[in-house]
Amino acid sequence: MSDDEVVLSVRDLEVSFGTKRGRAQVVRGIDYDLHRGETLAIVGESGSGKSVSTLALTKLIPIPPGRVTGTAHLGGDLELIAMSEQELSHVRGRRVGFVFQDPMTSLNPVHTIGRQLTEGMRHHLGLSEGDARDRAVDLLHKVGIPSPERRLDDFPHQFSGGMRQRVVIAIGLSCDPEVLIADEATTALDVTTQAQITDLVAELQAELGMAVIWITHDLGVVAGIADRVLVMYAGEVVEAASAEALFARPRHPYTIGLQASLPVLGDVDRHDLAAIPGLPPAPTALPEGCGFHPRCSYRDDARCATERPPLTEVVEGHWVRSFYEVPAEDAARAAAASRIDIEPPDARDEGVA
Amino acid sequence: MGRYVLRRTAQAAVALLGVSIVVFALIHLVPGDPVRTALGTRFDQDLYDALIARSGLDQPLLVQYWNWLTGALTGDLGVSFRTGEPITAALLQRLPATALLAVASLLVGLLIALPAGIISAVRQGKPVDYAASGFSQIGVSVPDFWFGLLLILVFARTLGWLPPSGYTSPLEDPVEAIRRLILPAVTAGVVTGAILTRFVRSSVLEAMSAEHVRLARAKGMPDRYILRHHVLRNAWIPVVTVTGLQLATLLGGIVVVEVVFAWPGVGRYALDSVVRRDYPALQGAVLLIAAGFLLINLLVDLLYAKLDPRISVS
Repeated sequence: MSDDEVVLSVRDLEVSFGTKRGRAQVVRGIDYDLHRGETLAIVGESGSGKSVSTLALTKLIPIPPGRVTGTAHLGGDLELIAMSEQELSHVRGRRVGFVFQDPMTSLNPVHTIGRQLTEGMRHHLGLSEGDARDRAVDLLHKVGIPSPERRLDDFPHQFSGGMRQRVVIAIGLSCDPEVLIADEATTALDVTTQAQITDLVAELQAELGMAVIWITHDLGVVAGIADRVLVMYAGEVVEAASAEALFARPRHPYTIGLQASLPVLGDVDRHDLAAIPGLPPAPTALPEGCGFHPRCSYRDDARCATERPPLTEVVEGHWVRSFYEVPAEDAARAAAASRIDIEPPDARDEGVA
Repeated sequence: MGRYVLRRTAQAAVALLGVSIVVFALIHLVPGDPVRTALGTRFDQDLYDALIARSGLDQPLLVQYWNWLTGALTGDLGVSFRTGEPITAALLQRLPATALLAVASLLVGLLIALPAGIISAVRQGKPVDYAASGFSQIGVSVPDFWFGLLLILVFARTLGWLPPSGYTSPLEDPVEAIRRLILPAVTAGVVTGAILTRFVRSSVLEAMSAEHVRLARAKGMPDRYILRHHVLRNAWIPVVTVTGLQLATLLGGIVVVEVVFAWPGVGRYALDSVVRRDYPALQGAVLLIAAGFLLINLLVDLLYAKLDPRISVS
């Protein structure tokens, strides 16, 4: 699906916020290359820094208190992090499109969707109102809104949640961006709508050739759509691999924990979902050593508590930030354990007795 | 939209009927005998009985209410005990002065509140924000009679720029009318402006934090455009409501300013009626103020439907 052309190259990206309790290190140095037509998934729990790391690329976080360092080259030579607000306003929406989590709140209730869809095109592409409307009709058609000519003058409250998210996607695509960032774009939707939206983005991507960064906490969403996956924890990438390799053989204890917490339909050997014990660290109080060691059930020794493990390429294209890679049989056992319980109630009663 | 207007108008009519009952009941519950007060030292039992009978005060309350209500519906609010004049005519004569002062005060208030509220929201936590908060704190706390007297002292007595009090109809002499309007309008307008400043600030702040504003930024729209079309456009909705309420409050509650500036308005008429226990006049004045209040609220609701597309449909 992807070719060799790198559209976005991120190096040493760090994001911190000044707080009353000191500087909060929210993103602690991440690197990735995004290729044309590729889907990169960034996965992690709330607070792992996954959203902030992408919002920070075009300074969509408040600065100050936020601070962003590192580099992000867009389309070869355009470096985003050092750009002025003025320069960035020509990148946002034009070259990097965004889709946010909640379609119920990300559209302005007092303007028609036509207005919200055309304002970016008129601003960035200098289209006339008529041309922008024609293009808006095409876009709405593309994202699967029936009779788009008539819906253009409707207000957001006249659309369902799934339809609104289609409109938001159309807005994100309206200026033909090289990169589309979908920040938990299906989280607020019900499951069937989720599948429709992920399919829609995949189709549009195949058609338009843009790269997509898909941010989610849900490994299940990732499995269907991602080419490559970055697993983030406490502001760092802890594992990076192709989606295939990651699901076939996760190597970081955290990824295995995430996978074990996925319910699998039809499994009767397990009574409850595995949860990773404990909570992620506060970004103002990150642990010494490995960021994950206080919650790691695989290994916790003196080295984990004092030394920060580097991100190491253990197999070609598979990077892990851990001193102890989880052996294949343990990973398989964890994967096998990740099955949901739907045994009949009477059987469960016997089990308890 | 048509049905919405009809429904809101019907609601307002029912509310007005309720108001008429409350006004009538409250005034008749208050102790004190208007006829006795009107007669004062010239009290005479026969004259007293005759007056009571003539004004209908000897009839059951329900009959009195019915007579008053049917009269009010045909525009006849009865005759004042105090002056013997028809009340409707007296109120209509005073209404323009009150309306002029209320609207002028509201304009002064908006001229202060819109820039102050918007700037302090956009520059939240900056010195200009603290200055605006300080102003609005002081403006809300300062009593209007004191502020009015201060203005008279400075601009009328000491500087001699403006007349200290009185009213001239703008139809007679527009220049003099404006000169006489300035001090009372500023007095009432500063208080209104102080209240509205806080409200505008918080509405704008709330509108700025909306997710769709973040998306507008992510779309790369310029800051000014976002402020105008995505922040202020949404912030207006609550601001219009409160502005309407403020206008209604000014119409009915401007009594103190009218007294300080010898302004011949409805508020002063109502106050005089209270002092003299002039039941019918007071009833008429309160009913008129309440009707004005309801009318403004109705207009605000209709405007609201224009501003917020979600209203007219639901």
